[in-house]
Amino acid sequence: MFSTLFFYYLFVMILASAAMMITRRHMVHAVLYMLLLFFHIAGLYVLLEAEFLAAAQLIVYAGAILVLYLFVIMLVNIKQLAPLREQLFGHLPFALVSAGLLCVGVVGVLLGETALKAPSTATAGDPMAGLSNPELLGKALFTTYLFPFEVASLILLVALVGAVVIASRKI
Amino acid sequence: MGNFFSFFINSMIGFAELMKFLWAHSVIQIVIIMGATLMTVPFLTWAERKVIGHMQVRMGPMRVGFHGLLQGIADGVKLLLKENIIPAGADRPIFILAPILSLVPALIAFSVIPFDSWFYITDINVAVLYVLAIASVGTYGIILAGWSSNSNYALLGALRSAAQVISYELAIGMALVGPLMMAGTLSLVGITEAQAQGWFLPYQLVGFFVYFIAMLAETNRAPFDLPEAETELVAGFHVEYSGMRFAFFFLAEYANMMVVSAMATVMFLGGWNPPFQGFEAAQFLQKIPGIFWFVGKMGVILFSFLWIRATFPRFRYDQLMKLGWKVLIPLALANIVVTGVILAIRG
Repeated sequence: MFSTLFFYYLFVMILASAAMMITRRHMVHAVLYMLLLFFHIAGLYVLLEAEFLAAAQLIVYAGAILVLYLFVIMLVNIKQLAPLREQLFGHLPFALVSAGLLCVGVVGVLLGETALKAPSTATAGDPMAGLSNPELLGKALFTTYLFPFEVASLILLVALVGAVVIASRKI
Repeated sequence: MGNFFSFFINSMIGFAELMKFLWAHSVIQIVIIMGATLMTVPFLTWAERKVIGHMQVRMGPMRVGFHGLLQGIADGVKLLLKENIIPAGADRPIFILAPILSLVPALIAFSVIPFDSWFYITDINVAVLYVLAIASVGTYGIILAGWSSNSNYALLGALRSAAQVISYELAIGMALVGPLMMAGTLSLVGITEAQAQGWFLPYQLVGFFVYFIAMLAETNRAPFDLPEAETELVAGFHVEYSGMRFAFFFLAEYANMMVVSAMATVMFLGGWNPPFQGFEAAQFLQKIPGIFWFVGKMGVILFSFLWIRATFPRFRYDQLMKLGWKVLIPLALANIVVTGVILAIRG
C-alpha cells in the first residue's frame, strides 16, 4: 500500500521535474530541477530494493556531475546563448525521430515481458540468498559479470587518459 | 464528575499510546537527536572562541553568563531578530533556497549515525554511502548561495568551494574504503560491532590520516577555509546573507563538523566501544555506557578542529589542490591496496 503510493508520488514528481527541467529558460533553474529529478530516480531505486544503486546515483550524478554542470553554467554568459536557442528549432525533426525510436524501444522492451526478467541472483536455495544488496551486487560483479565489468573499467580508464591528454595539450 | 474523570484517564491513555507510536516510529529519537544537535551548536561556537582565545593568551567571551557560556545563545537570538536583506540583483527563489539546502543535508546525515548499540534512528545497509551522498548534496547550498547573491566575492567563494569539495570528497570516500574492507559491511552499526575486539585505528593509520585532513577541507574549516577566506573574499559565499539565513549557514557548518567527527568515530575510533578492549586492567572502562564514549570521542575530534584553526595559517589555492590530488588520493589508494593484500593473506 505504502510502496504503491510512494511509486505514484515518484512517478508524478519524475515527470513533473523532467518537464520543468527542459522548459526552464534559466539554466541554473534547469539544473535544480534536474537535481530534484535525480533524487526521485534514487527513490525509485530504493523502491526496487537496489539501495546501492540509489546511493551511487546520488553520489555520482547529484554529487559530482551536476556540480560540474553548475560550475560551467556559472562561468558562461547566459545572454550569449540566446542565438543558439533560436537554432535549436532547426533540429526539431531529428529530435522527434530519435525520440520516436527511443519510445518504440522502450515500449518493445515493456511488451516483451521476458526482456524484463533479468537473470536473478537471489532465488530460493541460492547461497547468495540472505545477503544484503551491496554484497549481492559485489558478488555478481566479480563472478558472473566479471568480464563486462572489467571492460567497462577499461573504457572509463581510456576516457580518463584521453581527458588528461586533451587537457595537457592546451596548457 | 465521573464523565470528566474517565475523559481524563482516557486522554492519559491516549497520550501514552501516542508516545508508544511515536517511539516505535523513531519520531522521539529524531526529535532528541535533532534537538541535541541544534543545541550543541551555540556551545560549540562558544567553545571555539574560548579555546582559540586561550591559545592566543586572551580570555575570549566573558560577559554573557558564567565565563561567557551563554554567548552562543545570545548570538543566536541576535541573528533571529536581525533584518533579512535580499540584494536587489539576487535570484530570489534560489537565494532563499540555498541556506535550506545547506542545513538540511547536514541534519539528515545524523539519521544513520549509531551513538550507542541502542541509540540510533535507523540502520541501513548502505549507511556509509548514504552519508557520503548526503554530504555531497550539501555543496549545492554553498554554490547556489554564491551564485544567487550576484556578487563577485560570493561567486569566487562558491567556485572555490565546488572545486575543493569535489576533490576532497574523493579522498574521503577512498580513505573510508580501508575500514569498510576490514568490517565487510556498509552499515555503520555493523562497522562498530566489527570493532568490538579492537579499534580499526592502529590498522588504518594512513586511512585515518587521509580522512582527517580531507574532513577539514570537506567542511571548509581552517586551514582549508578558502571559500570564505576573509582576507581575500570578505566572507566568501555568504557575504550577502544576513539574519536567520546567515545563521543557517553557520548551523550547517557546525552540524557538518559534528557529522564528520561522528563518522571518524564510527569508522576508525570504535564508535561506542571503549578503548583497550583486550587488556584485563582496562575492563572497568566497559562499565561506562557506550554513548559517553561516542560523544567523548566526537568531542576530542571537534576540539582538534579548533586546535588546528588556532595553529595553522590558511593554504594557498594551488597548494590545496596539489595536496588533495597528488598526496591524499594516492595515499588513500595505496592504503586500499595494502589493506586488500593483508586481508587476502590472512584469509
